[in-house]
Amino acid sequence: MGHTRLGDLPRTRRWGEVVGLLACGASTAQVANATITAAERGLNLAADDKALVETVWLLTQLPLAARAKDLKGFVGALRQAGLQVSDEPGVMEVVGAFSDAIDARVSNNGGRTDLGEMAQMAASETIAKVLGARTQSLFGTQPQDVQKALAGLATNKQFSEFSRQFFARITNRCLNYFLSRAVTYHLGEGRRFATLAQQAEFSGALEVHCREASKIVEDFSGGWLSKTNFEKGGISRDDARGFAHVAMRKLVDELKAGARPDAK
Amino acid sequence: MPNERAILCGSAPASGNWQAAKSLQLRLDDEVHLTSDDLSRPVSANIPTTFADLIEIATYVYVADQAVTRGGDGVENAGANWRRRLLFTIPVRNLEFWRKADVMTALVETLSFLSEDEYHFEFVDLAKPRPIQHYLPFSKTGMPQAIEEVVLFSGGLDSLGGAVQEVVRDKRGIALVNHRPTEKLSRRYRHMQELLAAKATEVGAPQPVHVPVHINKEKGLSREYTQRSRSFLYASIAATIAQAYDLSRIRFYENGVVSLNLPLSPQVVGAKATRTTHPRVLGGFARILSLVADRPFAVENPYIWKTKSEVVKHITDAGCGEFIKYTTSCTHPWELTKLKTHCGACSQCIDRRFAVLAAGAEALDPAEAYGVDLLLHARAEGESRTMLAAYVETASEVTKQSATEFFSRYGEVGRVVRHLDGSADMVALKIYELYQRHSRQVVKVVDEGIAAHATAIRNRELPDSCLLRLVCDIAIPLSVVSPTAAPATPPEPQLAMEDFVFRKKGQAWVVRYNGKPDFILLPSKGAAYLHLLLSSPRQFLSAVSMAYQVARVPQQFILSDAGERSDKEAQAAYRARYQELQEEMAQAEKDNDEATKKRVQGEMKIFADELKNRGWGGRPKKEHSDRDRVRKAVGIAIRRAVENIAEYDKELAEHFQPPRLCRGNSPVYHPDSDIDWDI
Repeated sequence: MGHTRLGDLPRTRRWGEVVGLLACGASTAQVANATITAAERGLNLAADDKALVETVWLLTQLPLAARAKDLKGFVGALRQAGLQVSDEPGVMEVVGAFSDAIDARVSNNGGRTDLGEMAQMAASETIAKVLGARTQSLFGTQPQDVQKALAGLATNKQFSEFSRQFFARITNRCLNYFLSRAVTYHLGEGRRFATLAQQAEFSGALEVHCREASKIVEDFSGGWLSKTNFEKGGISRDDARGFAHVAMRKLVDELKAGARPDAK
Repeated sequence: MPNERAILCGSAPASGNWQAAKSLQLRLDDEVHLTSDDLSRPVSANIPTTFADLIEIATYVYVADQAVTRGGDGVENAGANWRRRLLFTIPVRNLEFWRKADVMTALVETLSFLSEDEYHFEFVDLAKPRPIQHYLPFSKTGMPQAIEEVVLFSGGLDSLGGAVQEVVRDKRGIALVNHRPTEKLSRRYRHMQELLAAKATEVGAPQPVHVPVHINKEKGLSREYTQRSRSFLYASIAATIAQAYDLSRIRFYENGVVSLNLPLSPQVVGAKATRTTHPRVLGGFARILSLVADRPFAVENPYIWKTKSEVVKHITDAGCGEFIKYTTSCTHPWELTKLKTHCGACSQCIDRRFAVLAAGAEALDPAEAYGVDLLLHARAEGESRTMLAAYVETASEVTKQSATEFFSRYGEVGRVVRHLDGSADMVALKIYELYQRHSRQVVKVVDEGIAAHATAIRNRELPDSCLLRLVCDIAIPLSVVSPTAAPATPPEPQLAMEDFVFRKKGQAWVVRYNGKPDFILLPSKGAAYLHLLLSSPRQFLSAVSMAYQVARVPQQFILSDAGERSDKEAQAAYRARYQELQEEMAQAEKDNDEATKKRVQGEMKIFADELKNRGWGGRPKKEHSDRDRVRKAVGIAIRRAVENIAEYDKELAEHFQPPRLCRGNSPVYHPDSDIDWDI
């Protein structure tokens, strides 16, 4: 029980280039570019993943629910969105209810892919990070403070940053999903990563690169939320699907451009 | 749906609903045999027939889980094929019960989370039901003592800890349900049984009853190794035995870190990290069993808040340390021998060894029993090294994380916090503390290993790829990178880079254009041709001559898997060059140029020998065929290299277009203005 097995990258020309660049000491930006290029087809196949769409939709619902005038209204709005929370939810309860709501929506795994799974995890991580920072603690937080923290995300600026954090995480998870199959083949003396510390340094640089690349999403997220919510009186799952598509497309393009010396 | 299968069980007819799916027929006692040893008690009357249905359903699910492959690990299609669509048609005794919405929902929700597949069930009437004794032969000899608890027993460290807890500490009568060990492991298992029995006698506890279960399938049904649904079958059997003894609880003993199984590596997504005893799975089992038993039924994991090292400590503190060496954790049993009882390389072996060392119990689990020493032995390239690196790096990272950092790194915790007793905040805090303890235990083992072998590490006496070398920063700095598998090279002096660069870096090329960030161009013939052209700007070069130069040292320019094609191209280049020399010789004879004749003769001899030695002579071809072939090959290689450059620097790729860079018989690089390339 608890057994884990790890895999390798396919031996195709595209993936061979990723492995070659890692071996030859290419920068994180160039490795990220080659990885996203090699993975693009598979990721495009997964772009309609129900869990990915539900995740993005629920992320938009959190700040909107928190705009309710009181705690009762906030809890009611969360339940309306599918988060089965108690009358006085703390931070970790919201994190757990968020994850369970996606699982309930995509029950029996129909149409789920690894991309949707990564999106779900990235969202849980982003909520824990943002609420943890805003409420000062993950444990024993008052429900009113949770509502206040989430309500603060409804502004253009704050939702943009929230969205950027989420997309940076999903991008980093995606790239590492592939690269972790190759990186440790370059571990050991005389290899690109002589030690585990050097491998961790590369992972850190990749994380920074993903955060930089996701700036492109920050630039339009806040405006999209306000505009769509104002014009349509709420955000539908179709709206969220469209937003997720555009955001992922922009991110892929940015990662490809990010390694180009001619990129802005 | 690419990975869909209709599973027709027993005598079930093909379902009209699932006609489109490829089908698989499974029959108990035909393709699949499920048997158990005597249970020493005539208690079958206590068992509702829904339990017999449950055992058959669980057996079919388990066998189908192994018979239908998952279609790879998901790199090419984001794991779409990993998740199978399994459409079962199963005959049952209690048709009305199994068709109930709440029963169906509990079954589907639990199994789909457990194995991450999509499940659909259609239940039909079972024509010839077998009695439960067919699978669990309760004998009429009577029971030696009362059974107070039914415990799943895998023969590993955690389940031994559970048996010790129940028998030695709590002095309770228990039934241990386990998979019947293979021939290779049966002797070790028997030793453990004997030790446990002797200990029970010593402390005055009832003798534990062992219930080995054996599932025998046709060979062709074992195609998928993941076996995610295995715990459902064992839980079903254990629950049936519990029901026979009027108990309403079964217990899995699994340490919390393995039970929650947060991923060791980013490639482990979803149920690729097993959920065998995940709290949500155990909750789901309890839900199903409560419906089947028609009363509240619990499925517990008493070790959920313990680390494996704490379990080892628990065993040794109970005076059962000598049992440890008879437990088996390794997932590569085919590699095991009498002396080497653990491979030392799989995730289970790594986890076990860290736990034993952290608990200070190495004397009870000798290092000689492991194929690879945890700290000191070289790790083979690939999964063995990757696994160890991921395990240690994860632990090292967690020890440094605050609670917020931990939860913003492991989103998987979100799936746990509402499925254990207590508030979500409290559960989250306990998970954080559990992982902190586990990680500190791992790091402590590594730190103590470093301290004990400091001199050997400093003197580089340990293998390069052993754990203690991998965690110590005494090797080459990251900035100095040598090519894969090449021996370590001394640091190159880091010079300021020119604005225009096209030069070798290891086997590859580093390229920079107009002062922009540099990038790596992987070794290729095209890159080598570009290098030749940039080295001689405004000079018309012979395509044949370029091919010849590159082919003379092919190992520097070609990717390893291009060997055969490059040989053919080199062959053509050699022959074409030989023909050029013949022309030069004719001209020299015409001009009566003795010096040229001498030089050309020398060169021709070299080529003639080379062609002869390598068997490349073959039948002489027409003069134009080889030249054209080489010209085309050189042109295509340059074009591909430029296309590759376009992925990283469009401006440079544009710069390498005609009229600045021309291909053909006489390629030339003719920049608009002079560029001082650092080549």
